[in-house]
Amino acid sequence: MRTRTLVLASLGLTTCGWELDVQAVRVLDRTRAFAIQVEVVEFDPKWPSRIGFDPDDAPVVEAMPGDRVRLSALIVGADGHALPSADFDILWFSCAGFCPTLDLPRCDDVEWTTEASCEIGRGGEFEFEVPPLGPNEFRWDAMTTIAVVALDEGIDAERCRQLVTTPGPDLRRCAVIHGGVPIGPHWPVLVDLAEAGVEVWLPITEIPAPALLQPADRLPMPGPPIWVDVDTGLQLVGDPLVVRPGQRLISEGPTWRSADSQPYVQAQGVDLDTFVFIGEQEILVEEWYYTPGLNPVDLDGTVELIVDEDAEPGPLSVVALYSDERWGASIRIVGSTVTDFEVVP
Amino acid sequence: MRAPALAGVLSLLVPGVVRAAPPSNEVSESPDRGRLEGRVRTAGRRTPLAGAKVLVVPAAADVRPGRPARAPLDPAAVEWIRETRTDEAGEFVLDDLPVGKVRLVVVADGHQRTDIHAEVETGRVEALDLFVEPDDDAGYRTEVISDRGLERVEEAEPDHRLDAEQVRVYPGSGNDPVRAAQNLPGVARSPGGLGMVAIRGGDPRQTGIYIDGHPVPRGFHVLPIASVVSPGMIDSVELTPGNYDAAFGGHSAGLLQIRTRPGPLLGSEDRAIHGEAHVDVFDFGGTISAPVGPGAVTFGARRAHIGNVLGLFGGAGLLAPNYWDYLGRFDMPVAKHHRLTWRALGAGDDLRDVDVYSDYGLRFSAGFHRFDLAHEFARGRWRTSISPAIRLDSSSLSYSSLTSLDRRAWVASLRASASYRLSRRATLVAGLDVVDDHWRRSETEPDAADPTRMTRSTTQTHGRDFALGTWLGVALRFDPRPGPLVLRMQVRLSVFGDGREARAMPDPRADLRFRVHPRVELMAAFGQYSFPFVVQYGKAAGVIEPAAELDVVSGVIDVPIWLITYFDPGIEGEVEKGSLLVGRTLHASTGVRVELPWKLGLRATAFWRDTGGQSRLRFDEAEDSSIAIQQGGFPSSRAYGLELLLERALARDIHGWIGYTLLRSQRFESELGEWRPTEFDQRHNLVALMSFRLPRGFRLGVRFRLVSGNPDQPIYGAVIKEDAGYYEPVRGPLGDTYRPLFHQLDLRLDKTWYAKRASVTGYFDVQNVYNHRYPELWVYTADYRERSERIGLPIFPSLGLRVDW
Repeated sequence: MRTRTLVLASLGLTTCGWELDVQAVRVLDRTRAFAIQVEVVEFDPKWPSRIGFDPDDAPVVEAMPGDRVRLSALIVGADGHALPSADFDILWFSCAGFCPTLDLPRCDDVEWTTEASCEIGRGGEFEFEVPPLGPNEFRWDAMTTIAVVALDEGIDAERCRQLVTTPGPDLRRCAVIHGGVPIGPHWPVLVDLAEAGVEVWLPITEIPAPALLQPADRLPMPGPPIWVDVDTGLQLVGDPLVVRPGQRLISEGPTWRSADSQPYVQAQGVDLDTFVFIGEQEILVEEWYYTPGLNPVDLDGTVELIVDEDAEPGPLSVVALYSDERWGASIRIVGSTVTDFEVVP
Repeated sequence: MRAPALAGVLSLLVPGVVRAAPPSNEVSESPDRGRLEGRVRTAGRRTPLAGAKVLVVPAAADVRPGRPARAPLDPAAVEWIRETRTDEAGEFVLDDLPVGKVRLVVVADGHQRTDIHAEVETGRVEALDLFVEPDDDAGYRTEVISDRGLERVEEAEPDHRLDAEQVRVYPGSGNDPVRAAQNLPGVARSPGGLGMVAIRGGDPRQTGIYIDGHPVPRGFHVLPIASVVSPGMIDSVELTPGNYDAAFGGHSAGLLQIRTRPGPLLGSEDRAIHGEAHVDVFDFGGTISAPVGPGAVTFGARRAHIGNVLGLFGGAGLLAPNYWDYLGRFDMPVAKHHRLTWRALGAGDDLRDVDVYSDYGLRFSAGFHRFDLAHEFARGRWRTSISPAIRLDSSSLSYSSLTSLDRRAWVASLRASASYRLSRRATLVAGLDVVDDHWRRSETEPDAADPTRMTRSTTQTHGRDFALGTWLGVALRFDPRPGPLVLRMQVRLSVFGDGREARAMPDPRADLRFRVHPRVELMAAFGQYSFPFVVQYGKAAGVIEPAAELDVVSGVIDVPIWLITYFDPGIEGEVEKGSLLVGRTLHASTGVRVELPWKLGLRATAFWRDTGGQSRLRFDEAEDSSIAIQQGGFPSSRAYGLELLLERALARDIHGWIGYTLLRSQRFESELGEWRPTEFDQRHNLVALMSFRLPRGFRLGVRFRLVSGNPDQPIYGAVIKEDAGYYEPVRGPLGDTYRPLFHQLDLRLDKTWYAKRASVTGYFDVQNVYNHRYPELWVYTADYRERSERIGLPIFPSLGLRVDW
């Protein structure tokens, strides 16, 4: 990998530039899948305190064994609006680490744990009961999950699965999402494991009582962003927001709720036997996607949006994908919010 | 008087009409008679010109002695003529000449006619120093390779031998004869013009690169592309794309040998001190050679300045390359039949971020120094040579003050060979070569235990790799009609080791050359070529691994691994806890060489290469006593095809070649259960390389290439890695698609100006004349949905200047 960096730097001398619209990755000009969405729909009665409280009752996305969860895919259409996951053909897999192939047995036919590689099921939205934790000490904080989505009506998820193993051009009509079902809250799960006789990474007697009250992770539910005209400094109002060709906009948002950044407890080892527990807040992140006709310009981290000079009258959309992140956590929880614009001459 | 004068003038066109007057040392005593004497030398090189014809005719009284005579010579106005020829020292004397202004005409083979005015005076003799300009290509040595191969049976004949001086004028090669060798049949087009020699679709790392019989870490500087030996120091470049001699081993593909030029030894035509200096947009350097007693010394050095130029522009992320190299050799006949040679050579590269304040702080450097001694002996039936060498390698890569990789090695090598002519028909050959590499690596990284990441920890490893080969064989020569037949049968025993284990493999090899017609020679060869391979467990099997991606701010560059390994195979380090395997490659080839009219030569070779795959299992016991089985190795591969070469190598007016390779190079992919193309499976490769002499000392070079694209490993989609917020490409197998057809035209114009004691050559080289945009690399959007091209070299003009003296 180190030499690769050298190669990258050297390429500037041996080859010449490209004409790639790198912003194309942000353009919503087709149906695109973005993420696996998880919602706990039925809680196992153990650890009721983890449910916590959210004023808007945002979905709980962190599950414990025995919980019933619903898997769906976050799919956005060419107009920027989320499409119902239930309308798509999706195959769901559990995968322990690296799965070179998705020709896997059904989970019902194997001794299923969070660390098994198997086919969970098929359906645009799929519910199942979280299996027991795997033997490898609850290492990953999540049950790795893969969704194989048929984005096109002319192809089904089964064909998409074959294309993952034997790739071909038709793979572009599919989406493969590598995500996971978050397992937690971390501390109650650790206690459960220790009580089951699993050797865990720290003595559970070291865990402070408040950590055991850590609520389960919930999906952030921010309000839509506020858009301000750069030239006038005035906030745009209305639904949809009316814009003109060439107009420059800047966003303030999305409008995060105070409940979106949840507290959690992080442990750091001082030595092999001593740990320090630190209270942390989740980091909130957003990413922007645009329908054609809106041109983002990055101004030192702040994105300015310019309505195309040649934009035809009609609708345009901006989609903000948002998520929260915890220190060291590898699973992101993703939702979306859409802002609709209407171009007028 | 008229008749002999006319005959003399005619002699300018028809040599030999007038009888030459012998040089004389007597000074005329007559008051109206005088004498002319002087020396004729080749302009630029100052070489005495023996056998040149010197004619003297009367000139008008108003001409200025010492000035060139440009007015046409009117035969009717010539009242008398005298003629002589220069002796071995280039000197001439003409006595008993009428006093007055005269015109001297010097005519010599391989040189332009020279007319100059002089004055004959009574009792006063001033020695003239005359310099005549050589024809454009007078320095060419002519060599009939097939003859040599059939006469000196103890040495293997390379498939291609390039005269360094000749091929320097070819366009697109940057004055570099080793780069010119990349245009030969069998050598794949090197993507991006990089200094790789991938032979017959094989791994470029499996091409052995030798300078004067000993291996070097690399044949080319990293960037920009130049060979590690100054062009002026190279005598010839030899390429054998397969079936190379038993005197070499350890490479499954082919052999590239660079032979350096000795100085003017006793017996050379020209024993003057000569030198060369050059400068172009990339580097500057020079060479000098001089006689020392019966021996000779020569030295050359070069340093790049392109990095300094780029550094003036600054900018983060811009990497400034610089390189240097030197070579000195001293040849001395120490006794009758014995010759000693000392050599010292080295080369280095330095690549660093021009923005010294950048956090990136990337710096790469690699270099080597080598010191050789060689002794050669030839007497009667015996020929022997022995050459020990020691090489010091170093390479380092650092990103910041906290992260660095260093590799140091000392490499001892020995090459010894002997041949004994048993009879007129049989010659015994034997030899030994050893390469013993002792390496030490040091890896410094931020201390993982330090949460501040400000302290460093260093890991040091060391090891040893060695390769020993010894060979024995017999060369048989028969003389049936119509021409000789040479059959060479050899066996090489190779031993490879890595300090932990050693493996031996016998390699039988045979080659046959038969002149079936005065102009037609048949060739055939078959042999086994073993090579070491260290298994790296848990990695994708294959001599070359699949492509990888490099994330950049504005997209993802899809970088093939061969490109990564190009920069320094050793920098990522030797494989630890690997297993040594010895692969076996079979080479077979047969061909014909035909001498055609108009000094054309045609060579056609059909070849076949097959490498058997190998794998090894390793059993690792985990802490819980479970056994993990890991497999490593390399797959089977094969290549076959046809190489055609139509060359005109010995001519002065037009020389060059048209080479064509038809190739199929494949590797067996066990997962797919089928043969798939290898990374350098360039199905068709056509290179036309020509140099034309033009009037007034100009020379035009043309290169046109038409080459199939390399196999691609297409990206058909991407896995959305939600957990890390990025996309991971899903690739089809290598060869599902191919890159587009490559074509490019390069032109070069040279002009040489001659002064008395030096010559100056300027050249203007334009690569990719019609600016064909070729996608050497693909660049993708982060989600791999869309891609663009990272194009190769656009139209690229460059200027250079060379001074010879």
